[in-house]
Amino acid sequence: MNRMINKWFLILSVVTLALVTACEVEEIVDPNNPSLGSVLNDASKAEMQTLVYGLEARSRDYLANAVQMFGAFGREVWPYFASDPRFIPDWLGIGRTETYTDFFTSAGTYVNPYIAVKQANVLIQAADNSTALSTAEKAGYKGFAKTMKAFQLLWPLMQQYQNGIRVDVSDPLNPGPRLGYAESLAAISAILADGLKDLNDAGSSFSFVLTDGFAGFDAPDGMRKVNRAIAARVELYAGNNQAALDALAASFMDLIVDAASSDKMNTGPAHVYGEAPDLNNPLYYPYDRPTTTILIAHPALIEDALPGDARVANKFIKRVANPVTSNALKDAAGNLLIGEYQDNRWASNTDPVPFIRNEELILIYAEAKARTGQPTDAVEAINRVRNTWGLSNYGGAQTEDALIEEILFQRRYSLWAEGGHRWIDLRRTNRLNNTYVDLRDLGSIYTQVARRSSEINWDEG
Amino acid sequence: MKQLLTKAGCLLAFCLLLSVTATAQFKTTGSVKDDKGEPLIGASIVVKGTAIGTVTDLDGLFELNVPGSSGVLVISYTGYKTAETPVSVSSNSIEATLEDDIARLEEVVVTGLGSGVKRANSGNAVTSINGDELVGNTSPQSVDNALFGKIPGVNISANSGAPGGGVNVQMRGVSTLGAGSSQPLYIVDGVYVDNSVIRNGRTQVSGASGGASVATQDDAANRIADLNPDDIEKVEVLKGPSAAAIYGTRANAGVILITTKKGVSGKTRVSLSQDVGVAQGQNFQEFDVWDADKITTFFGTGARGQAELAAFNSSGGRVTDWEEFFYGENALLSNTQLNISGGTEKTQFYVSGGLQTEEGIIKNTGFDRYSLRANIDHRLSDRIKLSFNNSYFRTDSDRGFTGNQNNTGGSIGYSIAYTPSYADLLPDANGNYPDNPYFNDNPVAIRDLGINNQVVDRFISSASLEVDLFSTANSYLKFKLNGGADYLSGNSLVYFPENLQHQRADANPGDVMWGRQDNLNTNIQAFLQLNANLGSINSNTNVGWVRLDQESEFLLTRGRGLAGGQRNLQWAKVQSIQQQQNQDVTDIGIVVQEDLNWQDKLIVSAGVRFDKSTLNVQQDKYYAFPKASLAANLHNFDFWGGNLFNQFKLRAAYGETGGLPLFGNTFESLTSQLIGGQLGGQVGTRGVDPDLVPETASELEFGLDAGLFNSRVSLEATYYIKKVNDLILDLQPAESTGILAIATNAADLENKGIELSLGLNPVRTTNINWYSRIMWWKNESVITRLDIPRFTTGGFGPSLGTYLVSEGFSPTTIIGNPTIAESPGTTGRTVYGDRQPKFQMSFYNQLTIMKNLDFTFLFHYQNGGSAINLSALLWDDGGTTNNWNGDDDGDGTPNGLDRLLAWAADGNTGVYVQPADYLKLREVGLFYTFPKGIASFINRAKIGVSANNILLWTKYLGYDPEASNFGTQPVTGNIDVTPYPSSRRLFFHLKLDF
Repeated sequence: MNRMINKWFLILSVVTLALVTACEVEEIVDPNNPSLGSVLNDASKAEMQTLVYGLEARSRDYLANAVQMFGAFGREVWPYFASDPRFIPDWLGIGRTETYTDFFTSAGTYVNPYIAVKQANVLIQAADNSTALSTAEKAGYKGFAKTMKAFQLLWPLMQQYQNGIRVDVSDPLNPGPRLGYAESLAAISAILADGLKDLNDAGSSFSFVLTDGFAGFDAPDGMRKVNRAIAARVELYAGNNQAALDALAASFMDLIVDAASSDKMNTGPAHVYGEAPDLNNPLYYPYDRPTTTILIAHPALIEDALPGDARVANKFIKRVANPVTSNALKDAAGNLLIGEYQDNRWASNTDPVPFIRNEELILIYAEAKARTGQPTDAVEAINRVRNTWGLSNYGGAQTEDALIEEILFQRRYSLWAEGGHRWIDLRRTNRLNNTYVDLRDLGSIYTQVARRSSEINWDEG
Repeated sequence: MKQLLTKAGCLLAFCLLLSVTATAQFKTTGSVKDDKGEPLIGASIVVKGTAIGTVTDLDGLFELNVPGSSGVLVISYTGYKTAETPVSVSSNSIEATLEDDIARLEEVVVTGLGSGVKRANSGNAVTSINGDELVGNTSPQSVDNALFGKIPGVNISANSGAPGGGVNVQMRGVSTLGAGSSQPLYIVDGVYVDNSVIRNGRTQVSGASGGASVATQDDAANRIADLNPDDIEKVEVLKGPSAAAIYGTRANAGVILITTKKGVSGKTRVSLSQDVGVAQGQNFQEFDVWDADKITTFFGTGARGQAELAAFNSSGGRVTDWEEFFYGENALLSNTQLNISGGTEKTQFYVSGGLQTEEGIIKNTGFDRYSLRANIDHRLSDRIKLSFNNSYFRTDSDRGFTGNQNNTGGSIGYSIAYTPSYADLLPDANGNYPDNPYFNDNPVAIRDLGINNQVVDRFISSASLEVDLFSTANSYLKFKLNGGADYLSGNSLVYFPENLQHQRADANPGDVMWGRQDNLNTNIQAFLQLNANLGSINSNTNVGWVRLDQESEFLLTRGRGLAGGQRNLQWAKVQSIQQQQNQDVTDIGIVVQEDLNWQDKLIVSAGVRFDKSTLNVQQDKYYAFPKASLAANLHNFDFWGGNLFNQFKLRAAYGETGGLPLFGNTFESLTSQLIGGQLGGQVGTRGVDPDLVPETASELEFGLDAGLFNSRVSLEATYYIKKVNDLILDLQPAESTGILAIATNAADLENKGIELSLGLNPVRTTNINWYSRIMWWKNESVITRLDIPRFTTGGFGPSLGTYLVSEGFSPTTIIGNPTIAESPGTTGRTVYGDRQPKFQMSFYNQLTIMKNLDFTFLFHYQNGGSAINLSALLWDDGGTTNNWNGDDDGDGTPNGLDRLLAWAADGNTGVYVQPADYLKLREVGLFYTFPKGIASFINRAKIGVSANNILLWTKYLGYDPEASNFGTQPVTGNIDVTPYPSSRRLFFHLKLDF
């Protein structure tokens, strides 16, 4: 008996001693992801490359919301999205005339671009903190990051308009002040100028690679042209017409386009897409499939089109078997409005989407010329666009007002569903009213989206 | 720590020397019966002051060697009062009779990791439920499903009616706002068991993502559903920190301790039970029948209206009751349980096998559970006790497609909200399903062709070793070592074939999600227990060490663009990893506890536990969780004298517990994103406060336990104040910073509640025994500190109803539109109610007639509480609500449209926030036990009928006021989006003991 107990106690003592060693526990680090600290603190070139692709990835996240929501605001499209009963009444302003704080599905053009801005700021900081890079190489990263950052800042500004936005957002606990609309545009312009300076210091090539979306723009020289193209848009919005023309001169604008070379209209950097785990092109819907969730071209675009305009067939296709309706979308007589035309621009859900194109630059050129008393140049540019798409030369008056009317009409078709141009254009030209916006859906026209509660709360403490 | 254990080692060695104490002994025999003369099987007999003991056999007989020449036998049996009988060498056989312990004062309840105390002496309100109360009245689907209305202070709510569980258990109010676990810690035979919800990707496949909540809408069950309720001997519930402090850093939401059945020495017993039943959907909403008028009202007179009229006419007005069609199946339920138990004085065993198969009320859904168990107890010597509990479970759930969806039609409930009664959705003779013109998919095809399956294989094993290091007449020292493992392997499959309508509309038709989960929890604890009588005071000291390790690996893969009929990933055009998530956690704790008992008059207990965990930001820092309690049995004092009260106890307890951050919330990391064939690293949108500490809860509990007329009337009353401090909340920086959340300790909240339990035994004769119990409980929560701006959380945003986190408000406050300028504290919005009820109560009755007829029923009532009823919104939107085109207010606008317009145009969210009061007849059972001797080989035979959730009274305009589209949620439950309807369950039972 005694002996047995001794034996067991011996075993017990050994077990107990074994437990003592079990007191030490190793620190657990994230087993699933690299840490932010590792890239901020002396990143390698491989880590920098990861951040670069990450910036490209983040930079496309505004697109769907800009096309869908801004597009709905300006009645470029109708959002037949049965997935949520708020899309139609809230976006089209049916039963309401103003948006509200944290407006339904509006984060895509606010939060998403700011997340991309964060990525750009981290990339800039990582470049500064890296000892693996030469000064020129650092300038390359920073020039690219600043160019992308400026472009992203435009989206929340377009959404918020007169509310203004924060531009200095690098410290999450100490963000900079909210700037007014004009001030914000000026600040974005300054970021672009700063980026341009970096690109000028970046030598002849980048030490990083970009996706195919930047083919032709993937060296400092090409990136400078992208930078200036974005600057042209910013200056046009700011009313700085000469600055816009100067920027265009340094951009990739190519005025010499005709019907035979219509592809040149599409020159420009693009967001790229792929199959999962990449993201699909969010604008692609398979043709004429039975669904109650699809973005539909507003019928006014079909009705108002000039005969022979090739853009109509390029961009819109009639759903023959499966027109869509929604119980929430009715005309004044109470009949359901029928959605007949869907987006015809994409062949597949992996097609890239250009985010600033030569066609826009030509139209910016036309507008800036018209506004600076150079109607001949303006008409020439307008005719480039008209001829390319099978329309005859512009024959209307050459007054500034008439030309602006014509340019807005061309922009409506040329830049349809490319991020809400129609809404933004009508707003900046004081035309955001029912003469220009078709309200057969009994909705209303929003000028801007209400500030988000996180911003209000932060300011109020 | 090292030092402590080294000391323990020395102590052990010292004991080796002392352990030479074998002396004379004598044998005593006897029998134990209840007050009706029935033998008690498995009653425990222990020689007082020692650990020497045995249990009675099948005939209530025992035999025991008692050391020395005389001693006192302590005879006890669950549910009976303990008796003490002196024995000596010269005594004859003992005949002990135990009295029914109506108020369960003798039952031992847990007070420490290494110790327990009889209920009469407990300083805490600890609710325990024995196996009979758990599953004796009817056949529940899972353990948590069996607890409804049985524990005061605990609000339990089913997330949906889908087969296989999914239950939210909330003890004493709100314990976390989401950073920690809101669900109680489950301990089965000493093993920390996994109660996680395994993501299966249904959310992605049905498109039901989005909304303001990050939670998935998979409607998967929490894994406590794997346990076999029939194996359970006892469930003990430590509701708040004052009792749960012994579990330290993981116990903020309370602890549920489950003990499984053990064998009893003596003749081998075989017990077989078979339940057969049927489940039926309940509370159908009686969708509208469409006619020409309604079609015109709803679709207008334009092209669409004309087309619908034509469709209606060509269908001949076909009337399908889609609710009845989908939810009207008579689901067959079967539960077979076989257990064999017995053993010798040295070794006892309990082995069991169970087979539970349940169909759902929707075709192609159901739940099966296969279980095996072997519990072995062995006495290695007089001083060494070993026990092993081993179990294996396999559960197989098909939960179908209900709830939310986006753009897919991948929800039956959502689809039929938009499907009129004349729609033609049935497949043709060739099995081709027509397209549904009213929604993204044909729900009949979704039901018949979609798969949402989850299979879990699980092993839970524990072992314990108890050694009496030494014992004297007045003291003993024990060493207890126990530990175990819970291994869970889960496989899930969610599948939509390529020929579904919405899949054909996709660029890559056919969608499949395969999920793999591997979880392993292991824990071990070592304790020394010293018990000593110091004069009239008994002292019980426990010192121990505990360790918990959790490892988990999760992989969710997706294939899109499937070859016809194939669901292997290799046959998908686009193959991707949806998520791979590995986790690794270690907790270590040190425990010291001292219990003092002065003649059962005053009982004082105090202890402290120090815990560290790798889930904390400071992974190596120990946090202290103290506790103390006092029980004063006034009736045991001389001044009390004899009166009506046989018990009058005042008690007070205080304790602290912790709540750990969820895994991953303390890391700032990059996320991967493929773009154009290249891999990008995206900066995360979360930040972490470097000074983050775990959430802690403290609770002060006061109570009164009184028994009158020999416990024929018993009252348990408890009042508690439970504070949760340093709640981890996301500080939301301005979104423009690109950081959307920084985890920080930003709030405190307070729960105050009352729990009353009144037990009555109004009739107690030889032929009729009537026991009745009324429970009543309420809890009020309020946020007492909030360092970050008030915010809304959960659900689908303000217009559809969301939750408010604001100082001075309950954390379960439901708010919505419209915005009211003069509404301080609510982020300018309108308050529509609170998810938590005002109070709940239950009414339980057990009537035994002629000893062999048992009738029981349990009512459960909820007063107050609101739910966000988005089902009603969808039904109004789709025109299916009953009497949609009636015009009750005579304004010319149909009812359904009136409500929709009030909601949409007037922005009145309150239209769809509805009171969730209910009265449910949770359980009712009628059993007959045949007199002995109906057959020579049958020891006992019992038959019965029972029902579960048989009746529901509610004003709520949905299937069940219990619903949670986002699953188990600390705060933001009660959001109803066309869930799987709940069902009533009816059973026939047969139970045979051989």
